[in-house]
Amino acid sequence: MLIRLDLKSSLPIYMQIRNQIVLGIGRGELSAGQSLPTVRRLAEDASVNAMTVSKAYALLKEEGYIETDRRRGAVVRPAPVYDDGFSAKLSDSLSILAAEAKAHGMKGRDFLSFCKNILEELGQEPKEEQYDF
Amino acid sequence: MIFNLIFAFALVIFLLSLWANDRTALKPNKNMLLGVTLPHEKLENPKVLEILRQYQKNYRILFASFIAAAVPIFFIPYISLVFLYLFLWIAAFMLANDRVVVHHIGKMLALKRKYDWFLGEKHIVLIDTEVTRQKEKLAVSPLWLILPFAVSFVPLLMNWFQKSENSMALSLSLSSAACSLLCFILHRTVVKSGSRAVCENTSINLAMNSARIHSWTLCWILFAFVESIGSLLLYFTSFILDVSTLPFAIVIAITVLISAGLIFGTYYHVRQMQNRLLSCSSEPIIADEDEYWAKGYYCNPHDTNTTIEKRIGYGYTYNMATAKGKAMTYGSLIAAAALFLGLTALFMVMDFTPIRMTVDGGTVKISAPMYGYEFPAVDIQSVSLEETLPSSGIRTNGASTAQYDLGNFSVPEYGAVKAYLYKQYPPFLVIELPDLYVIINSKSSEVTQEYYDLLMQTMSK
Repeated sequence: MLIRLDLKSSLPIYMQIRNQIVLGIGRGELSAGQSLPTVRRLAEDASVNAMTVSKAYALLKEEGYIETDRRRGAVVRPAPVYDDGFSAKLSDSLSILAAEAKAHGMKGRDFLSFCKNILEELGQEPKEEQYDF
Repeated sequence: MIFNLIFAFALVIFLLSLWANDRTALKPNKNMLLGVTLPHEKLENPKVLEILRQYQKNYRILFASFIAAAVPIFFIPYISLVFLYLFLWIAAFMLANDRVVVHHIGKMLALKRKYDWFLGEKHIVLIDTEVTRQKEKLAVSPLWLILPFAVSFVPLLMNWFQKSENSMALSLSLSSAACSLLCFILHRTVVKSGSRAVCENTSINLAMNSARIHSWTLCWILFAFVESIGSLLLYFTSFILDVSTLPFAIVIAITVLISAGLIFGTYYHVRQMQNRLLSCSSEPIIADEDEYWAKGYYCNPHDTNTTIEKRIGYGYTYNMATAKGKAMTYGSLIAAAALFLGLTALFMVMDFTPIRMTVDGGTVKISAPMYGYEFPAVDIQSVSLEETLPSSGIRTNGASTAQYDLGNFSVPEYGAVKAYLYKQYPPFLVIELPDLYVIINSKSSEVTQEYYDLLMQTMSK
């Protein structure tokens, strides 16, 4: 998969690396058991400090997306269990995004169509249903 | 004469490499012309071709003017002045050449900006995780370098076992081992240098990096092999032949030629493979880093890599936005200038310090740059004035130019000789000492005659 880092973005590089890897997993470009580059190699190629990559990997590990194997380095984990903790986190993040969308005058239908398109891109098409705020 | 030949050889090498360097800008490489990335379909655009034509015309004029300016080098009688002239000539040439290249890069960038031919996003770094992960596997194992490193020490070991006194063994072993170490550093630099994705297709990104990493790591390993075998051959040659003979020079020349061939061959092979792969890819190049090259050198504050492959010319260049890149660039320029000016100063002393002979008490003193000598007058066995010099002799430690011979020589007629000679100004005073001869003269024949009279007087006392 490709990792795309925007050097002029206000989002810290470690968060960009974390997000790109999560996106890669979501899109199916990274499958369970697949190895990631080592911290040192990724830092060399991305021209960033090894600490930055290390921070991103630590975050991914904490969130359950990857695990570190002594022999194979960082490896993508099988899909983490979808539990209450994750539901609460998702609900928080979505509430903020939905509120932002509403504040920008976006209709509930458009917001949902957005979500649908994104899920389609990730290969997880939701059922056809009508929603409204 | 010999110096003129050496200078001519150096000049030709310099001119050829700069010429080859400049010409690489004219051929599309990874969709780049003059180091500027263009959309594939614009490589043949008439406006682009016009800039290339102007560039070609200008660097041809530049070369013609500097070749003409090089002619005086062959007529300057003093080696120190030749060195100074050569230094200024090379510095001016490189500066002017740089201006020509940068001027046309600017023109190409302006054209690109005018028609908005930008490819992909700026300030974006693209990494293919598969390439980054497999980078080490794409390289030829550095363990192969152990072999040439071990071979480097064969001359030293042979000297030790045979209890031989071959003076070349140590320097050959050390230089060859140093070369193997250098090749190891270059090998690591190739593996460590940033591998960026050039398109969305992972197989093409992998193949592009495989072409570069595999070929260059193999090149440095073969380079170390060639160099260590060359050193070994030199060592064996030194048993049979004199260091200054032609076969010896031929062994060196062949080693240098094979090494240079390896580097150029690898360069063309990699470039060809990468361009072929890119032409197979329908997906575009997605990172545009042209603005970091606008000054003619690479300066990217967002890149922590110190080295990067050159866009125009061969090999790698430094990232001038990093402290290490700056230090290496300025350091090597300063070192080259110091070496050149140091040699000029040394030769100035040799060229312009007068040689004088005096007798102080019972001691004959010869004052000369670097090779001054003193001997008791009582040691003199004979003194004679000669109109001609021996036709051949080998310099063992000294300086020999068209004007003068200075230092220690080995001459068939005399054996060991200390020479203080202005070759074009006979007569020459030949002084025989118990185990060597001293040959001295002055630019004025009267002074040489005075030296003779002085020695005769001293001997008769």
